[in-house]
Amino acid sequence: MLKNIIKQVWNQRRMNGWILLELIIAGFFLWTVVDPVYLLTINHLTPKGYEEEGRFVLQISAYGQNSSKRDTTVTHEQQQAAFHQIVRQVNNCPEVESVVLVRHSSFPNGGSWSGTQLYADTIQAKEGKYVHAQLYDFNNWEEGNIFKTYGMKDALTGGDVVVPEDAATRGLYFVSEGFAKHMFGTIDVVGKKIYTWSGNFTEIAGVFKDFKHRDFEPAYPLVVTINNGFYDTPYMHYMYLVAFKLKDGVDAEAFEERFMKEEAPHMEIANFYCTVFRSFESQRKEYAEQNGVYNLIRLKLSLAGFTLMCIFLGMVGTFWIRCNARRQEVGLMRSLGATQRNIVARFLFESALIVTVAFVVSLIALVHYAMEGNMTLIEGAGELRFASIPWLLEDTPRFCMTSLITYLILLLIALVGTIIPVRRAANVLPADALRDE
Amino acid sequence: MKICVICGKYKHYSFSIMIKTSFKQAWTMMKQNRLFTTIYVAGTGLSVAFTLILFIIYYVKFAPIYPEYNRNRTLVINNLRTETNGGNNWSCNAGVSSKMIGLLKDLKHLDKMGAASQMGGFLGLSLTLPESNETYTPIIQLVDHGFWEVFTFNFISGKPFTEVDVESNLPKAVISESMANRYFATSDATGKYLDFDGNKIQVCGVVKDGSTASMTTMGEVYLPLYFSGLLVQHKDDVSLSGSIALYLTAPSSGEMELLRAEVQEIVKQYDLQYEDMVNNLIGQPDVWWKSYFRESCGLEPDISASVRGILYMVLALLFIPAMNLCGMISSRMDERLSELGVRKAYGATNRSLIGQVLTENLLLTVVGALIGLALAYFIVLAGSEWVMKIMDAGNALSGMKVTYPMTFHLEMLINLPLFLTVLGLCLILNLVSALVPTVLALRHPIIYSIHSKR
Repeated sequence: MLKNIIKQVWNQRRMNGWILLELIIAGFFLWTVVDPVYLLTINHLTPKGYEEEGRFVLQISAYGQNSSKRDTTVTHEQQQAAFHQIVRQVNNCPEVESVVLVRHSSFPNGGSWSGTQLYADTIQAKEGKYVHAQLYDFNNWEEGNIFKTYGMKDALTGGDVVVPEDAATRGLYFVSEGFAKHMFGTIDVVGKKIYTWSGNFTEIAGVFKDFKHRDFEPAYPLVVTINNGFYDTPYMHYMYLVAFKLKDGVDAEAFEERFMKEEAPHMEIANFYCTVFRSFESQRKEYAEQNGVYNLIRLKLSLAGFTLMCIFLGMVGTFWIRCNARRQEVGLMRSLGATQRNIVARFLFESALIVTVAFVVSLIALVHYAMEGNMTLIEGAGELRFASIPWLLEDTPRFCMTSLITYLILLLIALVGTIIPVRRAANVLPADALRDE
Repeated sequence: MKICVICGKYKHYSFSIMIKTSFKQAWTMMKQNRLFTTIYVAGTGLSVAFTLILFIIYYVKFAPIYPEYNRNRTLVINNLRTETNGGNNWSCNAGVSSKMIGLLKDLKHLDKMGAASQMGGFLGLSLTLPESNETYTPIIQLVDHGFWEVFTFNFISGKPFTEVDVESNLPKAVISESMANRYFATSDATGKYLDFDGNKIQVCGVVKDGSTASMTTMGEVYLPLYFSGLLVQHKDDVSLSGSIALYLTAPSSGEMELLRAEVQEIVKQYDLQYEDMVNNLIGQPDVWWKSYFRESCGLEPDISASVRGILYMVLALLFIPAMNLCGMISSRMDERLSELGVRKAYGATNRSLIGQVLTENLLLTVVGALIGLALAYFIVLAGSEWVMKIMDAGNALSGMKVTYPMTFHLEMLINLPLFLTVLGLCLILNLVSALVPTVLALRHPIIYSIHSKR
């Protein structure tokens, strides 16, 4: 039977040729549309390295020079004291479990990014063999702890990251497991030294699980340092964010309402005031919205929809015409005992065969496309070396998975497009179909 | 005069009769083959709709539209990389500092220069709307006096703030017409005061609204550039990097290259004063359209890759449905093979038969294109919040968070280039989808064609 169907498809090659050509082009195009969506989805599903639930960030603002609410008698020292008072006040809220003062570049999905080159030893520093790492730092003021507040876990024990009491004074580093592997080939690196370009070194105090600064990108090697001082500028409120974690079970919405009503008015001191805080989750979504991630997904889904509609129309049209042309054949099959189901199955098989042949041809072009370096992890990322890439995003699994998803979508739409005219044709009575014979 | 329906030698008859006959035949076939008509029209409509959406998006971004009528002679600087340590260390800001304005203001080929910053959102200014008593944070643009010369806003009342107003940081504002109507219940709001939580700012002018489709000039409240001291540069700061976007117009589009060279030269001269610091313009100033593709701060945009990506998309939008239509027409040609054979037997040339099929097909294509045009308008208007931004990859201008609804001006959606594009798409789709199958069908000898009727 298979031989028979292949022969029939081949005999009608002129009619099948156009839909085959469309499927080849559409298959290639659909693959290029599916691939970025697949990439973003896998990145999004990869563990973040921190917890989102119950985590918030508070931005402190200040009345400007032209504001009538600005108190011009406030001194810089008073402002600095007031800033600390506000942070302390957040910390003292009964619903809040932990607070940490961080800079804009030390917050997941924040707009800023800070990085540096680090070396395993002085020889490597001389030879320029470095590991490029992202830098997070937090202020140790008021027992702030970024690991606790963000929910980052120790890579060795799986528990909380232990911060030695003298970590700030000794300038100890905490590194992500991806950084440790890139630098030393192992994550058992506590106590080892890392060097800066100028030859200064510091000791590693802990290794935490890989951390994704941006949700739709793989984790980058990360180093966390503790800032012992305070950037004492008139723009301190632009430099720092107050990140905090609520206690388990606290209703975030109720807390926000109470905070703005009861706490925020008390924080309007020395020209500072508190603006509405954002959750880690809303920050993630806002970042993706403003940086074109959602735009890219929308664009690709729209193009996928367009391609699939074209394929659907093509399959309906082709098989409608083909069914009409083979009306007598269908009638003969019916009169010889074939059920509707047999006829529908036969046509569906023909359809699947055309899709498969077309996709195999597309795959040849796609292999070439992929080998030309079109499967980057991030467009324009250049030589960025991520901490760890999920195995599903490594070249071969990614190509195979994207191809499989594309093929299944193509097949599904083609079969749906085929079944509509075929069912109608198979429904015909043998006598009607053979009337013209 | 009777029309010969067999030989197809239309040269005997007037062109209008030929078209009329072809359309009549096409109309009859449309009614007879409903499925064919539906699939053909749907395929054409989809292709035209998606291509037109893309056209509208880029037309709004690149063509001269209100109030950005000088786009074709405007250069843009909205990115600057400060390099030290021989280029090994660098930092980047999405804009330049106020010092740059002073450097460029006397250039020979500079007609006007405008500065704008979207840092207004950081001022934390909000006001209470009288009608609803709700707190509202408007879209705030910080601009200088030149901004009003580069961008040709239509002032409904009042006038823009002057150079002196900007330099002396006076609390003056130009507001949009819709803002005036919302806050003062009248568009004649010049002289009145906006109350930002007790911070009173006098309105000096009211302008016709810009569009959120172009955030370069869209604003509800325009404040002097150095308002609140946010953008005032420290006198010891030698970097030209900051948060101000500069728009420089040349006297004519032909002089833009000269202006570009002058800007680059003057920054080079400025850098000579400092031993280990380079203010890298990264190939700027850009012509308007090029500035849109400057997505990564501090990096040269890959224009050819971006343009290739768009062309690839347009080709897919045209050719995938065209293959569909080719298949449909090919099967219809099979059905009409005997008819074509008879005509050829009576002396019709291949050329006249191809002309006939293309004309018949044009009716279907035009119907599809009109439906496509309507669909494109529907999608753009119904999904304007995301459709107009769908090609943005987070560049400096589109990255601003805007809660304001998307607004359009009529000229963005109804314009001659758009209709010429529709016409062009019709012709391309018609030609691509009908020509090849018809030529293939006409290759057969007359005997074969006539025989196919059996």
